[in-house]
Amino acid sequence: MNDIMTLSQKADALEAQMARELDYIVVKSRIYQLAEGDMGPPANPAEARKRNPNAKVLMGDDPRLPAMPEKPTLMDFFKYRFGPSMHLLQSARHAVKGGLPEKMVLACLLHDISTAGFIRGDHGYWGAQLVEPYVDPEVTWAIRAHQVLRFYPDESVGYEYPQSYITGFGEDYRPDRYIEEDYKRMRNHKWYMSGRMITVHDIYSFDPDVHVELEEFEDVIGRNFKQPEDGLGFDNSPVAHMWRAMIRPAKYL
Amino acid sequence: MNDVMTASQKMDALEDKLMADLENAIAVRSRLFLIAEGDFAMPNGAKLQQQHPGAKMLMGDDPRLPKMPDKPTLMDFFRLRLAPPMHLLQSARHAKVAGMPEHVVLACLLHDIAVLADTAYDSDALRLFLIARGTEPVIPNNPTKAHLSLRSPSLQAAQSDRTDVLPSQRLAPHRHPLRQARDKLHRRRPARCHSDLVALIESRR
Repeated sequence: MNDIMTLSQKADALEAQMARELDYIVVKSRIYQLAEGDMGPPANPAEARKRNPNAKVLMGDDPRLPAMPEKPTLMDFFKYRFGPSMHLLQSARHAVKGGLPEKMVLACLLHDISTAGFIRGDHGYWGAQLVEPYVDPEVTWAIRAHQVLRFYPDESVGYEYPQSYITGFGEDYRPDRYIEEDYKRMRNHKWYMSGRMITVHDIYSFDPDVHVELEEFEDVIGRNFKQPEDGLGFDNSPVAHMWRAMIRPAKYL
Repeated sequence: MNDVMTASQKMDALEDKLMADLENAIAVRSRLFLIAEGDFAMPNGAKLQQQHPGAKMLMGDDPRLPKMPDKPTLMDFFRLRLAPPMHLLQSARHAKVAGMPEHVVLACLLHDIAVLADTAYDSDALRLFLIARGTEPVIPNNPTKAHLSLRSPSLQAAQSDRTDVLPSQRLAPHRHPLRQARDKLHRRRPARCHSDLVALIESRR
């Protein structure tokens, strides 16, 4: 046997170790698999059970993650599921200082929740969908638009194409066609400037030295985010399953 | 060098291979995919770029995946993105053999595409449609839903067009092709949400 394991052997060893430790079998969702460039067939729980006959597929709470309350609130997702959200908090504070109305402060606070807790690609569209049942339609629209508008300068408000995009994507990067087409539609929309305001307050909000607490926006959330009585994920809304996906991201079915 | 790599050496080796596969682009994993592995780290794109000078963030097609056409069809997703769909194909054929109408065959063909690519959360309307026609849906239960609520918009929408009964459903139960094979199909008791739905339909008649 080689002393250096192949990648797939390493993956198998890691998986076997995890199954022994956890007594449950985690089967990756197809989209998680694809995001790693893996086009192979899905893992077979029966195979894992041969190694650990007591193991079950994961259907309840994930013991590796912080427990969520039965009726989770937006604040609970910030605390227990989202990654560091200083950028969102800075952006919201910046919007307050810029004299934006409260609902736009909320839009700035939530504009990147999909990168903070859900899916990165098309985060504006995902983020807007996540909050749509609970916020003013203008907030939803602006969150969706900000992802698109970030690629297009607007001199009237001093918004330039971000330097970080040049560094990150290259000088010759051009937005995808659907982004370009959405930009044309959004540019003429009555709420264009709301989406634009998110991009304005977005760009200045990556200061490592500024610390903002989520509690600063508790009242803004309370007044502008219709927290469902049964909790996010359990309110029978069209997006409830998306919030449940964050509560139990590795649930088997 | 030790013949057993340390964890960080392994990570480096894995990362190098990844970069090569990605043609020197940096793929940052989404938070959802990371927490599905119990990983609470938050990748930092700028730092990753510092570690890999010259590399750009992945914004276009993923070179590790089969290329998709510009205007992808459902068939393209079956061929180029979904996991092997034999269960779906078998399910659709089973529905066809049982004489189900084409849109039900299609529903069977697509019922698990979210598994291949959360199950059944949009299935209320389909359950109701099937029950209204005397068929017991075998769509997986929605495990987090104790019972279906009358508030569900999809239920209300479905009730309004619940009128016709398929000719095949008018057959005497013992002659119905699906009934005859029912024991083989599945033996479990009707799920509670189904009985709730049946009660709901009865109360509306």
